[in-house]
Amino acid sequence: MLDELKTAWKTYDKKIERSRVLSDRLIVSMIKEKSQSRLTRVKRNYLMGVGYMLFWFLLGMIVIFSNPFDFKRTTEYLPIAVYCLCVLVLGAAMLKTTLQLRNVEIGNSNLQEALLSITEILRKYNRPGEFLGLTLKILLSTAVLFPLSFLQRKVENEGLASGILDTLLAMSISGVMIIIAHKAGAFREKNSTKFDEYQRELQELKALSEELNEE
Amino acid sequence: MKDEFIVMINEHRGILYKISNLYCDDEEDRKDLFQEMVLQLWKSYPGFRAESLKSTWMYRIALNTSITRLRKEKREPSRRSLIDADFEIPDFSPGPDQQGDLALLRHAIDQLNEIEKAIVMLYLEEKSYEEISDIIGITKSNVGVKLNRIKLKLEKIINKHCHVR
Repeated sequence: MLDELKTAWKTYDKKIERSRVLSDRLIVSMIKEKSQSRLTRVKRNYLMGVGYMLFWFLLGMIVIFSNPFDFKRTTEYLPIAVYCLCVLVLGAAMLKTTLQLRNVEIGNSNLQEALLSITEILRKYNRPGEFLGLTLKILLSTAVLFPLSFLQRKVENEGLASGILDTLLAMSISGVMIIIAHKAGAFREKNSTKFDEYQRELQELKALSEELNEE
Repeated sequence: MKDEFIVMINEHRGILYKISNLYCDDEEDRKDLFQEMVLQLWKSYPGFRAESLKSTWMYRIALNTSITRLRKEKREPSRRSLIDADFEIPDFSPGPDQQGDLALLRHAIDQLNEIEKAIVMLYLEEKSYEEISDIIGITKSNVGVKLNRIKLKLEKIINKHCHVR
């Protein structure tokens, strides 16, 4: 029975031998294309993440150094400083992974090794749900907590009760706006769909890798 | 280096055609995979050392690329024009004189999973256990075990197919 398959395979081989040779122009155009591989996609996303973090970090630094809110006391800088620090830590973590990913090559690995490295990368990458979620939470918390920077000044100028009320009102407005945006699906839907997709892909690859290990 | 690479791709284009056919159902998908394999081979080409056979090295990269690829990812239509116009991947569709065999081959292989497809292809290409073990990354004895299982599975598929016919 298997001989029939071998014969068919040879027939297919002959069909390929008769096929047209690929033009130089075509091969050159292929190697100039952007890769669509899973690994390249993950590498690209991490790099974009680093850029994204850098942008928010620089924005925070501009606020600290140009002082557009006319902060007078060191404590007033606290929320924005915490924000900058968190964004910096996240950015550095992403940069570290980006550099690690540069060394991952599937070219010199066999299938087993390639599957293992890709599943490991995807397992890490499946955390961006947590990773980006954390960033978002920090950014949103900063938006809510930012009015606290002005609390001391307000208490001095308007009195304790009015100062606290004013600050709480500003915090509540930020909070409500964020809740409305969240309910409208502004932060979640797109990423969670991608996350599910990556989870599925990861499970598929894990199964393939496990199959190779079966005796 | 580019010229050498182009010659190598043309010499061994059959490997890429076969893998594209094994792992993709539609033509568009096959061309995308073919292109991705060429791209990955080009990226790895500077690191290629003549320690292993060129064909073994190509099988390894091409199979790694096809099995670990993002299945849903399609290239943008604007980027496809040259590739679509310029080449065609010979598929398993039979000519007038090979009606039965190629159809049976396609049918049987379609029933296998991705790892089994890779192993059976290397077997049909008459690669040694050592080469298969080198490409897939399992021991030679495990290659034997897996091949026996695949052969049994294929026999069942073929028997069933012939019975229905």
